[in-house]
Amino acid sequence: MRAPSVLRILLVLALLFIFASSPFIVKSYKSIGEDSFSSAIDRAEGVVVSAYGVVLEAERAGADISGLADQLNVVAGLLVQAHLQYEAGNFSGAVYIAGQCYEIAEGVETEAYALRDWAAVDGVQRFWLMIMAWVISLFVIVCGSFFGWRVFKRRYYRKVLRLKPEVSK
Amino acid sequence: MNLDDYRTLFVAVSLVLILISTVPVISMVIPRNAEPFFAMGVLGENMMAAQYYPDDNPNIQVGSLVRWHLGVYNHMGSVQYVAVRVKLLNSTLPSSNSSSCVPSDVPAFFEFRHVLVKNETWWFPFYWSISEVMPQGDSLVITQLVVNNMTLGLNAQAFSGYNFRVVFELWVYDEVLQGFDFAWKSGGEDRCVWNQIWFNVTLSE
Repeated sequence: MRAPSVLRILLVLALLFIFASSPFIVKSYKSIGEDSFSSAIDRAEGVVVSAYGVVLEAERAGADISGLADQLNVVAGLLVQAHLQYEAGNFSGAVYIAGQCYEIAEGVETEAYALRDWAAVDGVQRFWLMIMAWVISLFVIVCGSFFGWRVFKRRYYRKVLRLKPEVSK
Repeated sequence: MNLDDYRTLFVAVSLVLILISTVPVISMVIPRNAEPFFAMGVLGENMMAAQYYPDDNPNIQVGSLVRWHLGVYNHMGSVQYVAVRVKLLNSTLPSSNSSSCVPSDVPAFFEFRHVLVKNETWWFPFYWSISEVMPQGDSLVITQLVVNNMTLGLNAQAFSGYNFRVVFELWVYDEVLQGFDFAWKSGGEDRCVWNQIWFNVTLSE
């Protein structure tokens, strides 16, 4: 008779323990969930910032980045939405929007890398083209001046020789 | 004019032509040094510096729609990632400081973000209304706002509902800090921009 009663007490204590600790378990489970939702937004933030960095590099290389900026603006708007959804407690909505941000921003980043590399090559080509054009223009100016001067001088002498001298009293 | 004069003229013209042809090459190598800055402005209902309140009455009732337009201009010489943080303060809470570039420590209840290309001006609407106000002692507490059709919960109070202010702060993404900063560098100095509009809240007409 004693053994079953001890077992019954232990069972009741165990049930009480589980019942008492359930809010903490649920709470900690919920906070883990919130953390993962928050990290999804952080991940999206990270890739947006990284894409922005590459867009900046592409611009410095001389690329036209207006199209990429438009795409980044879509992502920036979505990120704000994700934050608002998160703060309103709609975690799944926030994660969904953050996922969209991530995908678009990754695409922008890839495009920006390609544009940056292309702009860097194009920039070097344009630089050398400019230098060549400058050297050619210098050559044309110097030669033009030199030969122009010779022609002018010849005409000048001819004109002077054609003049009839007059003796003045 | 004798031949020597003509020679001088020829040399001078040649030198001027050489100089003109060199200008594009020099401008390609030497960067232009313009002072970098941002500008931010708030306009009223009709995109003018007027009609900031419904019927030009700064005593705003619950449910009245207030239409403002914000503009940000980028003269930083490159693409910039910016955020406009919107805060709701009363007259006693410390506001942002322009000289030390310290933002208000009140958390933002809304944020706009945008990537501005060089010399771009970005205009966007900020349409808002108060959807919930609670009296608390001598104060009125705004507990809910609707901004651009989004309902937001907040907790801002002012004595008798007087002297609330909406503060707009421009935050700029700083690559070195790897985060948004309420300042940008201009000639080695920190510069910042913020704006505020005051209003009162009334429960009835």
